[in-house]
Amino acid sequence: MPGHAEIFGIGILSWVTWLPAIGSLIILFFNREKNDRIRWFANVWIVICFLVSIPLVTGLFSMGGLIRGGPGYDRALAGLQFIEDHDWIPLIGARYTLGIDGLALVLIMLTTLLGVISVVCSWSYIREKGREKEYYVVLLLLQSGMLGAFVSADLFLFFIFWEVMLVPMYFLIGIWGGKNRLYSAIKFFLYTLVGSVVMLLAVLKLYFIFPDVVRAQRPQVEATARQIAVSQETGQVNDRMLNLALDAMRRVDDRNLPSGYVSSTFNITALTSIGPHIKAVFGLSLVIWLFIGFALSFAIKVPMFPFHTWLPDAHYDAPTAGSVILAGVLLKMGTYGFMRFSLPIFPDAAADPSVRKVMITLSIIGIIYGALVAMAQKDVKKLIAYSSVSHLGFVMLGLFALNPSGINGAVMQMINHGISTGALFLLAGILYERRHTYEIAEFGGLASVMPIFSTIFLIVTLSSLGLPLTNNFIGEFLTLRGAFEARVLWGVLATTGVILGAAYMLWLYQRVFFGPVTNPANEKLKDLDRRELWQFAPLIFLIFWIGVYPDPVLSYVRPQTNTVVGLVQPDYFRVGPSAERNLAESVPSEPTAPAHSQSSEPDARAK
Amino acid sequence: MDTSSLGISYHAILPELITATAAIAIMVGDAVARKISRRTAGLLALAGCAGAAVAVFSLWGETGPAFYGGMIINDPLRLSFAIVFLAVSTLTVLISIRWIEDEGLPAGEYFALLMFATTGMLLMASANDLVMIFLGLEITSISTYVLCGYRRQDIRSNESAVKYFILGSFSTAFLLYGIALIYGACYISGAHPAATTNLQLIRERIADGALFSPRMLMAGAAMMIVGFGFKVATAPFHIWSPDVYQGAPTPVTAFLSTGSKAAAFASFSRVFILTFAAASVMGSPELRELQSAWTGVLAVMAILTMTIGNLVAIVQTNIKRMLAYSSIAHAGYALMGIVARDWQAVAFYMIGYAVINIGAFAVIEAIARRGDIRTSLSDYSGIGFRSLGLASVLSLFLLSLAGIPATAGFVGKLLVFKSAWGAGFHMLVVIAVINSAVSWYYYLRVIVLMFFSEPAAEFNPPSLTKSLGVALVIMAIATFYLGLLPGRALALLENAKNQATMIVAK
Repeated sequence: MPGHAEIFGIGILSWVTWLPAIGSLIILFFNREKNDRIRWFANVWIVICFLVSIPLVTGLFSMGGLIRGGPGYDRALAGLQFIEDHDWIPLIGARYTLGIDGLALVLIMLTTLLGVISVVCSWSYIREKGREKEYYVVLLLLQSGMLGAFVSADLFLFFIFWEVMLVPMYFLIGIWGGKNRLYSAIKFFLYTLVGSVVMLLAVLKLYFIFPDVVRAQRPQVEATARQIAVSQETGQVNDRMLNLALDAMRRVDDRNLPSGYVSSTFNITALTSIGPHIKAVFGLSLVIWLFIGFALSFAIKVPMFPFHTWLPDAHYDAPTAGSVILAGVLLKMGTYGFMRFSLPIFPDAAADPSVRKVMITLSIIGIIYGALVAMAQKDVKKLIAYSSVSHLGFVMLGLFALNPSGINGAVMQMINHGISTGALFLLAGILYERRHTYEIAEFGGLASVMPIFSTIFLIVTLSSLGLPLTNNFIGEFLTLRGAFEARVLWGVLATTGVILGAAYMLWLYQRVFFGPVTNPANEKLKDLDRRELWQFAPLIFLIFWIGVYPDPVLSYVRPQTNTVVGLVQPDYFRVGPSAERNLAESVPSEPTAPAHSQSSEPDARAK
Repeated sequence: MDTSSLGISYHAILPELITATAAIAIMVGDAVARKISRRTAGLLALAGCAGAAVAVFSLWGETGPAFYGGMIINDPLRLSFAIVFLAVSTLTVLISIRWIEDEGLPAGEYFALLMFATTGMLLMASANDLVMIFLGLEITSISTYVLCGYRRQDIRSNESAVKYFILGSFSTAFLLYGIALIYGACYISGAHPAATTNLQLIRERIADGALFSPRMLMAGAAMMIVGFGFKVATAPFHIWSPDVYQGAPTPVTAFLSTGSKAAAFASFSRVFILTFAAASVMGSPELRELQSAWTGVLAVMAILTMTIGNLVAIVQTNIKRMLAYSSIAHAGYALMGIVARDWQAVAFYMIGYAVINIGAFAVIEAIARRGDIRTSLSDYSGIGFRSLGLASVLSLFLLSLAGIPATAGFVGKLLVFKSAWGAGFHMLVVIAVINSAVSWYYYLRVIVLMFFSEPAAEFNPPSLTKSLGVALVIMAIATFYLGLLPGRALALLENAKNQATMIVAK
C-alpha cells in the first residue's frame, strides 16, 4: 500500500512543505523587540516541522475525521507515494502535483533534521549578530523552498521552488555572513541563476516535444511508464503514479479537453517515460543538448569541478546555520537533480560514452583537486568547504558509474556528507563563537582545554575520512565498488581521494587539538554547554547507525536506483550475452538481478 | 446615411464615457470650487476608474459588430487591455495623492489629465479604425506631454516634457504617414468606400488579395512600426525614454512606463496581429512573404531592445534611469509576444509588468521625497533595515521584474517565451533568456545596496500615507496572486482568444 496521510483534508506533503513558511509568516507579526519570544517560537516551530515529517516513515494513526492516517512509505513499491494532485495553471499544463520516492524521502528527513539543527545552533550566534526576527523569517522560508523542491512531482513546480530557494539563501549570506559576504552572496546567486536559466530553456523544449514523442511512439512510451511504476524487487505496481502519467499522455490527443487545457504536461513521471524514446524521434543530438541544459544547472549546484568556485566563498562567508544547510541540503539539490531528472529522463545521453567520460573525468578531478586544495588551507571553514568539493565528486562518480552499487553509494554519500559535513560546520561555528576566527594557526592543544568538544570533533573527523563503522565508509565503499565495476582505472583514481581525505582531516585535527596550548587566548575556552552538546546527539547517532547498519536507508533508495539503472542500461538486469555486449566498459561480474537486490548485504557482513 | 446603420451604442463606449466624464467633473469642480482638494480630486478619479471597470465587465462577452460606423469594436482584446489600463490608472492615482500634496502642485489638473490620458488609452484599445487609433494616441500623448512637465519649477521636468513632446510629435507623424500609405494601398476602384482606414475592411481586402499595391502596404506597415515602436520605446526608437522617465515626476514615470506602453501594445496587436497577420493566414503566398518580413523585423527589434535595455541599465547610477532602461528591456520581452502573434501573452505580460513596475516606482517616490532629491543609487545603501517594509516590497518588485518564479514577472515572461518558442523563434527565446539572466545583475544590485551595505548618508524612514500603503499592499498581493495562481486570469484570456478566433473566422 502506498504511503498516505491527510491532516485536515490536506495531504501530509503539503504540510511538510508549507509549515516552515507558515511559521515565518507568523514571526512577521511578532514584536521586533521581543527577541526571546521570537527565538523560542522559531525553535519550537522547527521541531514541530520535523515531527510532522516523521509520519512519512512511520505512518500515521487515524484520529477522528480530521486526521486521516495511513501507512508510511512502502518500500516494496517503486516510485512516488503520498501523491497529491490538483489543478493549478491548466493553460500551460502545470499542476500542483506532489509525491516522493525513496530518494526524496531520505533527503526530506535529512532536511527537516538539519533544519532543526540549524535553527537550534543559531541560538547565541544570532543574538550577537542582531536582526533576529528577519533571520528566522528567512531561515524558515529557505526550509520551505528546499522541501518544496524535493516533494515536487511536477517539473514546473520544481523549477519554481528551485529558483525561489535562492532568494532566502542569498539574504542569509548577504546580511548575516562574514567579512566578504557581499561578494560571496552575489557570486552564489549569479552562478546558480545562470544554471537555472539554461535549465528553463531545456524544460521548455522538453515540454514542447512531449506531445510529439507520445504521438510517434505511444506504445513504447506507455511501456516505459509501466516499467518505471513497477518495483523490480517485488513486482508491485504503483497504480496512482502510473495513472497520472498515463492521464498526461492521454491528454495529448484528447479532443474533448475542457477549454483552456493544453495537451502537454510537466508531470515528471510522464516526462521520464518519453525519455528513452526522444532519440528515436528527434535524434541523439537533441537528447544530449537537453541533458546539457539540465546538467549544467545541476553541476553548478553540486558543484562539479570547473563550476565549484562559488562554493568556498559562499561557505566561508555564510553564517554557521547557512553553511550547515548549504552543505547538508542545498548541494544535494544538484545531485538529486542528476538522479531524478538527468539520468532517467535522458538515459541515452547519460549512457553515451563521451558524455559519461566527461562527467566521470570532472568528478575525479573534483575529488583529487578538492582534496589537494583542502590540504593547503589555513582556515578551518575553507578546508571543510573544499572537502565538500571532493566529497561531492564521489557522489557524481557513483552516479555516473551507472550501476546499482555506484548509485546506491552515491545516495548514501549524499546523506553522509549532509551529516558529517553539517556536523563539521557546526563544530567550526562553535570554534568561531569562542574565538572569532577560523585560522588554524590560532589554535593548538585544544584537546586538553575542551575535552568534550575534541571528542566530538574526533568522531566527526573519523566519519568524514571514512573509517569503517562510520557512515562514510559505507558510502565510499559502495561508490568505489561501483566505480571499479564500471572501470578499474576510475576506481583506482578515486581511491587516492580517500587517502588524501584522511590526510587533510587528520592533519587538521592534529594542528587544532594536539600539542601544547601555545596561544594564551585558548587557555580558558569554554567546553560545550548542554544545548550545543544536544544538537550533536542526532548526528553522532546517525554516524554510527548508518555505519553499522545501513540497510534501513538503502532499502528506501534501492527501488529508485533500480529504476534509474533499468532506464540507463536496459540490459543490466538481463542475463545473457547481450548484457556483456552492451556493457563493454563494465566488468560483467554479476549481471543477474537477484545478486543485485542484495548488493548491500556483503558490506553489512564485512563488518 | 441612415443613422441606425451607424451602430450608435452608448453602452459600447461606456468605459470611455465614464473616464472622460470623471476628467471633466474634476476640471469643472476645480474651476467652481476654486481649489479642489487633492483628496476630492483623487477620489473622483478613483470613482471614474471603478465605474469604467464596472462598465468593462458589463461589456464582457458582448462581442458584436463594430459600432459607430466601424470606428469602435468591442472584442476580447479591447476588454483585456481596458483592464490593464484601468489597473494602471487606479494605482497611479493611489500613489499620486500624497505626492501631489507634498509637492504643493495643483491637484485638479493633474487628475483631470490622468483621466484624459486613460480615456485615450481606452480608445486606442477599442479602436477599429486607424483614424480612431490615431485619435486615441493623440489624446494620450498630449495629456502625458503636459504631465511630464507638471513640476514646472524643475528644470529636469521641463526638459523631459519638451523632449517627449518634440520626439513624440515626430513619431506621430510617422504613424500618420503610415496610415495614409495603408489607406492608399487598400484602394479598390469602384468599391464603396474606395479606400479605407477601417481595419475590418483592410483585413478583408488583404485576405482577398485585392490590394492596390502590396508594396505600399508594406511601406505603410514599416512606418507604423516606427510610430508604435516609439511609443513602446523599442530600440532603435528608445532614445527618448531614459531622459523623459528620469525627468518626469515619479508617478508620471510609473504611468508612462506601464500605461502608455500597454496602450501602444494594444494598438500594435490590433493592427499587426488581428489585422495583418490574421489576413495573411488566408492570403496569397506573396502576402505571407510580407508577413514574414515584418515578423523578422520585429524579432530583430525585440532582440535589440532587450539587449540594449539590459546592458545599459547595468551602468546606471540613478535608479529612475535604471528602471527606464529596464522598462526598455521589458518592452523587448513583450514584443516577443507580438512576434509570436499571441496578444494574450502580451496582455498578461503588461498587467503583471504594470503592477510590479508601478510598485517599484511607488517605493522610489516615497524614498525620493519632495523634489525627487534621493534618486541616486547611493541613496539606497543601508536603508534596508531603517525602513524594512518599503525595502522589502521594493525587493519583491525588483525580483519580480527580474523574473523570479512565483511572482507575476515570471509567469509573464514564461508566457511570451513559450509562445515565441512555440511559434518557432528559438534563437529569440535563447537570447531573451540570456538577457533576463543579465538583468538579474542590476536588479540585485539595488537589493545588495539596501540590505548588505552600510548606510552612507543619514536617512529618515519616510512615513506612509494610507493611499500609498493600500496601493503597495494591493500590488504586493497582486504580484503573488498573478505569480502563484495565474489560472483564473489566464482562463479569462484563453476564452477571449477562442472568441477572437471565432470572430476572425467569420
